[in-house]
Amino acid sequence: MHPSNLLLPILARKCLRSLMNSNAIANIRPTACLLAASNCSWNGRQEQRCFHTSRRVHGLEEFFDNPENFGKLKIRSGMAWSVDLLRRKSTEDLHKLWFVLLKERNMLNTLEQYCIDEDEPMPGPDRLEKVAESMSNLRDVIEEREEAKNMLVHGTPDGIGGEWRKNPLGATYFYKFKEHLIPEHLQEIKRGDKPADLAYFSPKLEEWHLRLEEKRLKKRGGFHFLLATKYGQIRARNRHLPKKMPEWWKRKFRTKWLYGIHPQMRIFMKHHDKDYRINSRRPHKY
Amino acid sequence: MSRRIRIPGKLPSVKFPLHYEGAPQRRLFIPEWYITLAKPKEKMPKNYVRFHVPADMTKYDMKEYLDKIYNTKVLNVRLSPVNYVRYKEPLPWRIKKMSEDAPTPYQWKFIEPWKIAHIFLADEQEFEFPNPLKNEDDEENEMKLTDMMEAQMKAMKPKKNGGDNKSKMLLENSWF
Repeated sequence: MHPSNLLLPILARKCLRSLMNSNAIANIRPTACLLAASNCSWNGRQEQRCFHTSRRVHGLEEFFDNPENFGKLKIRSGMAWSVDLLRRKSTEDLHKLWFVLLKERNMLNTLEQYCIDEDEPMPGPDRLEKVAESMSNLRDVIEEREEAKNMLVHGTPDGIGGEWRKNPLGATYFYKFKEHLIPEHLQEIKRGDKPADLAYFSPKLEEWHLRLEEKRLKKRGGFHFLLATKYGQIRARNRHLPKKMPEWWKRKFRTKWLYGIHPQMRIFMKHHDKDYRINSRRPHKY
Repeated sequence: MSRRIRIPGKLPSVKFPLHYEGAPQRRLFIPEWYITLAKPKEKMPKNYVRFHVPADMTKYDMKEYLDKIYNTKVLNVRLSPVNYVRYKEPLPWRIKKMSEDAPTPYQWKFIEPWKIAHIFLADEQEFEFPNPLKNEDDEENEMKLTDMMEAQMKAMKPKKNGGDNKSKMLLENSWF
């Protein structure tokens, strides 16, 4: 027998209880009524459980266990809800289950606090762990479904889009869209939030950019010069090669320009390896 | 989407969209607030209920919580916070200085802040805190037990007749 069967029937009854409490559903008449007399609708037949009518309560009874369980030292409880079981339920059912579990948790918390105050052992402390675990699993399942839906609709797990932007110094970053304080249909003054609207120019920044561009052009010029000399050496050996550098040969050195090192190059170079010496000095170069 | 962590006092458990004039009512579909009903040690009016409540909650949250989930009408809610309290946590496994009369090693710690909700129920409702560790049926059984014990004691009492020596010996030692 699956041990969760013990937990499920208890929760089914409590689900009915929670349904009774909601104002929308008033037509359901459960067979086992666990509410205070004032909340129940008398069917005329005897209720299954007797409870005190001296205390008049409006739903606060749900902070305490079934009166039959008062005074018991051991209370049996079923397994916690696992993620696999919860995945089979619809979102509506999960929503109802959340509130059932919430009430159970509140009940257990009150019991725990009472036992701490009275300095007595709490009957069934493992129930708290199980309820907490099942609530955590429930939240995981709901988050999973929400993320999946957002991925299908928006392409991002939170449903918030974004775009690649350049900051004023020229570095690229991924900008996530933020919330408008006033929604667009209520805005009186429309302020743009695209990069073209947000861009600003200051003379310092402009000078910085120009200087950087000058440096870059100088370096590029030097690099092209090196490539030209290399090609010249190759052409000196083979006169049939064209005078102009072919593009496919230029593209071979793209990694060197972008990252400073050629991909086929070894990271450590033989004649520099000996610089990383232990307990010996580099011989003096005469 | 990362799991939203709640750090009481710093990060709230719920993130609502920004508010503007004319915004629709805020709704929570999965409230993560767990409350405990506490029994006050002092004598309080019958109208009165006390809850221990997470620090994120407000008066209106509390009212809605009880209204919607527990179907109780509330007249008044007052929240009083229990702020950070510093206490010493003893660490007896740490090596103690043998030279002086040093106290056991300890570490300063804080409790997480929470709130106490003082609530008065509306519509002439009354609430009495029951005892969840005591069963009313057991009381009756206890009475029966005492009755039974009294009956046993009466049966054990010595008879007025002389009897044998053996019975006299037995009767003198009334423990057995």
